[in-house]
Amino acid sequence: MVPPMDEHLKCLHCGHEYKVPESTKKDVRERVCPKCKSNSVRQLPPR
Amino acid sequence: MTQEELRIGVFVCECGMNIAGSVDCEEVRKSAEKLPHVVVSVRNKYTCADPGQEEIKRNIREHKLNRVVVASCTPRMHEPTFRNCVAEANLNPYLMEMANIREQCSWVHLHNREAATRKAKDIVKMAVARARLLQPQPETTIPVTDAALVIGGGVAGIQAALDLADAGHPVYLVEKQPSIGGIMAQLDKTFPTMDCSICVLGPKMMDVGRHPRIKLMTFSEVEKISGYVGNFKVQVRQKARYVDESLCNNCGRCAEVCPVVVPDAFQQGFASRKAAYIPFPQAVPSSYAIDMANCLGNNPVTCDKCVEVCEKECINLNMEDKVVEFPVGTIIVATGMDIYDPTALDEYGYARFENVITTPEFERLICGGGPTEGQLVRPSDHQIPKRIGFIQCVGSRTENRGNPYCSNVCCMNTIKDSLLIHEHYPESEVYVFYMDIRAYGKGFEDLYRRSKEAGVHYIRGLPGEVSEDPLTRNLKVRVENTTNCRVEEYDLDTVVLSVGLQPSADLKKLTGIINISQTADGFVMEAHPKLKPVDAPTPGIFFAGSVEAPKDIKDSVTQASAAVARSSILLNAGTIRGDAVRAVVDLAKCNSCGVCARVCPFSAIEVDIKGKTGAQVTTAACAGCGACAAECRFNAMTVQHFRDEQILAQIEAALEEDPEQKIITFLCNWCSYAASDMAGVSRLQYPPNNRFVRVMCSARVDEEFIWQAFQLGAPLVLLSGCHIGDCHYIGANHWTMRRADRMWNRLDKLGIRPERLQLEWISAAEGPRFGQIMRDLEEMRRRVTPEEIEDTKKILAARGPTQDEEQ
Repeated sequence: MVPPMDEHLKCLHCGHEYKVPESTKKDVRERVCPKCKSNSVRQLPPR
Repeated sequence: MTQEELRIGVFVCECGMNIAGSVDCEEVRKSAEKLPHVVVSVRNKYTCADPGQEEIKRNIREHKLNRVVVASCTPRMHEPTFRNCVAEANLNPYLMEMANIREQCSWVHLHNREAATRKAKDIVKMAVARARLLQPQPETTIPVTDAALVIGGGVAGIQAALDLADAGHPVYLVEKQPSIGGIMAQLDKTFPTMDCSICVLGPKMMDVGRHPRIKLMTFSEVEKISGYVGNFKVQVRQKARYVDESLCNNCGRCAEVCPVVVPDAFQQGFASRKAAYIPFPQAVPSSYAIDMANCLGNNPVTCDKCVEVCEKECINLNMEDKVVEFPVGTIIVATGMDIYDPTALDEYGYARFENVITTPEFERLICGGGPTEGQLVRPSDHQIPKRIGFIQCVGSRTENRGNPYCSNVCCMNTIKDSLLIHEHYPESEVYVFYMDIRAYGKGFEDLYRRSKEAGVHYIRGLPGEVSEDPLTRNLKVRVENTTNCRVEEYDLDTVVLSVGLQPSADLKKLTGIINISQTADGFVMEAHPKLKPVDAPTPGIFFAGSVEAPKDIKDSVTQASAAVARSSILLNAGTIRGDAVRAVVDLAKCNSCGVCARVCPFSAIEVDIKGKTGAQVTTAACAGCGACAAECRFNAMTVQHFRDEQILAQIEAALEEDPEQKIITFLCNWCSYAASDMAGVSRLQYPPNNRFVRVMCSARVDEEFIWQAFQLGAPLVLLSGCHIGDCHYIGANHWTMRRADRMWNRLDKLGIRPERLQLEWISAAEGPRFGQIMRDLEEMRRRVTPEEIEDTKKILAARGPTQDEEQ
C-alpha cells in the first residue's frame, strides 16, 4: 500500500508553513492554521 | 429598460437612535439624492413602521419609482417586510434593495461618527448601483403531487406512514426486508416503561397493512429518484418473494415440508428456520417468502415440495423482480441504523468466547417469543447464568475502533436489561461496567434508581480484557474501578456487550440515489441542526428516526411525526411558491462542457455533453447557490437576482473613492452575513474599512469579482462563507475552497501576493470572531502599500480578460 503523502500548507494570514498527512478519504476538510486559526490556508504545490 | 427610465427612491431609516446615534442620516440622505437616477431621497424615523412603509408607497406612486432602496437594518430581518411593502404599491418585490447601515455600520462604529457616515454613504451607493440593474422577477408556482414516499419500515417509517395516511395523503411505504417492524420488532421490552415491544408495535404494523391509503412494498428497494420537490419520480424494485402475498394464508405447510435449514437472523442465529419462512410470527404482510439464496431450486426434480403442498397455489418459484414507478410530492427517509459488530474488539473476546454475547442477542434470549422462550441461558451449556456482566460503550465514544459519538440508547437499554434479569432471576448478580451513565430522558433517572435499588452493581470503568476459563467456559473481567483506582477482577458466567449504533451500511447507496449528504459520523445531514432538524438540505425530503442520529423509540416516533408535519405543509398546500433566485442558462453561450452539472449540489442541471444540446436547469430543483454561474467559463450560466453585473456594480461603487482604504468582503447570506449581523447586535466594534457584498453562497463568488476588486485598487479581498460541512447548499462551499486555491496559484504566478485574498469560514454564531477578523484584516490592509496596489493594477490591465483561462 502506498503511504499517504503529506500536504504542504501555508497560512496566508500569519505565514505559518506546516504539513499534514493527506486524507485517505475523499472528504473535503476545513483547513485551519494551527497557529492563528485562520482558514486562509493555501495548499502549496508539491516540491 | 433603458437607463433613462430608471427612477430610484432611497429611504434612509434612523431606526430611532440605533442608526442616527452614530450615523449622520441627513448627510446620507443628501448624498443619496445626488446619485444618478435617484429621484427622491427620504429620511424616516422608523421605516419598518406603518408610517414609514406608507411613505415608501406614497413616493412610489407620486414619483413613479421603479426601484426602491431602503437603507436600514439587515435584509435578513426586514427584506420580506419591504418586499411586501413595495408589492402593495404594485412594484415587483425584486426591485427593492436593502442597504444594511445598522448591523454593518452604525452598531459596529459607535465611536467614529464621521467614518460611520462615510461608510453608510458607500453602502447606500453600492445598493443604488445594484438597484439600477435589478430586474423584475416573476413569482412561480409549482404543483405538488399529493403522495408521499416513506423509505424504511421500522418504527419511524411506520409512524410516518400512518400519520401521513391518516392526514389523507396516499403513502408508498418501501421496506427492503420481507416484513416491516425493523429493530424494534426484535426487542423484548422497551425503556423506561418496560412494556412489551412487539405488543405496542404489532398493532401499528397491522394498521399499516390494512390502511387504505398506504401502499406497502416489502422486499423492495428504491432504485432511482429523479425530479424535485413536489414532483419526484420514484422507481422501486420489488424483489421476487416467490409467494403471492395476497393469496398466502400463512398456513405454514411450505415451511413444514421445506428440507433446507438455515440460521434464523431474526433470532440472532440462536434458532433456525427453513428456506420457506415467515420472518417472525407478527410479520406484516403476514405472508411466507422463499429464501432463494438457500432454496434447493425451482427444478421439480431437485425439490419443489413447497409448491406441491401449497393448497392456495400461491408459490411461484419462477417469479421475477418487478420494477414499478410512481410520482410523489415528498419523501421521508427512515432507513434506520445498523448495530455495531464488536468482532474487531478482540479484548472482549466476542469472536472467541461463546458466552460473550451482544445486547441484540440478549434481547432474543430474554424474550418470550425468542428461541429459548424467555429462558436466559448461556450459549455454551444452556445453563442459566448466575453472574452477568454488561460492558458499556462497545463501539461508541472511541476514536480508535468504533465510533466517536455516544450511541444514545445503550445506557438505558442496559438498565432495562438489568431489571429484566432481576425480574426473571431475582437471585442473579448483575454488574454494569461503564464510563458514564447517561439517563437524561423522562423517567430514565427513575429507572436507573430502580436498577440500583434492585442490587445491580455499577462499576465505573471499562474492562481492559475478558478471558475465559477453558474448562468451565466462565469469564474473567479485568477492570480498573475508577472510583477507588484499583484493578479488580470479576468472575462472570456471561458477558453482554452493550454495542452501539452506527449508520446503515446501505445509506451510502441511498445517498447516491437521492440527493442527501452524510455528516462526518456517517448519519444524514439536516438542513439545519437546530431549526430544520428533520429537513434534508434538498427541499421536499425529510428524515425520521435513527437515519439522522442514534435515537430511542420515543425520539424516533416524535421525529417521524415532525417529518410528517413538515411534509404535510407541502402536500396540503398543493402548490409551492418558487423563489426567484435560480440559475438560468443562455444556450447561445453554453458549450455543453458539463462543469455546471458537476458542481451543482442539487443535481438540478443536466447536460448532454456528447449531444451538445446545452445545459438544462430544473428550476424547481435549483436552490440558487450560484456555484454553476461562478464556475461557468462561458458566462452562459446566470443566477437571477445575483447576476454578475449586479455584483460587479456593487464592487465598482464601493471602490469609486479611496479604494486603497477599502477591503472588499464577500459574505454568504446564511452564515458569514449572519455573523456580521451578530457582531452588530452585540455592538462589537471593528474598523470601518470593510465594504460588504452579500451573496447567497460563497460558491457564487466568481473569480472575475475578485479580479475586478484588485483591478479597481482594492488592497485586500475577503471571501467568507459557512464552515465546511455547514453549507446551506449541501457542499457548494467546497467549490469556494477550490476556487480560492486556484486564485492563490494564479495570483502567485502573476506576481501578486496571494495573501491579499483571504478566506474565512464564519458561522452565524461567530460574531466575536467576525469582529476579530475585521480587525486583523485592517492590520493586513495597512501593510499593502500604494505602490503594490498600482503594480497590481498594471499587471491585471496587461493580463486582459480572464474568462478563457484554464479551470
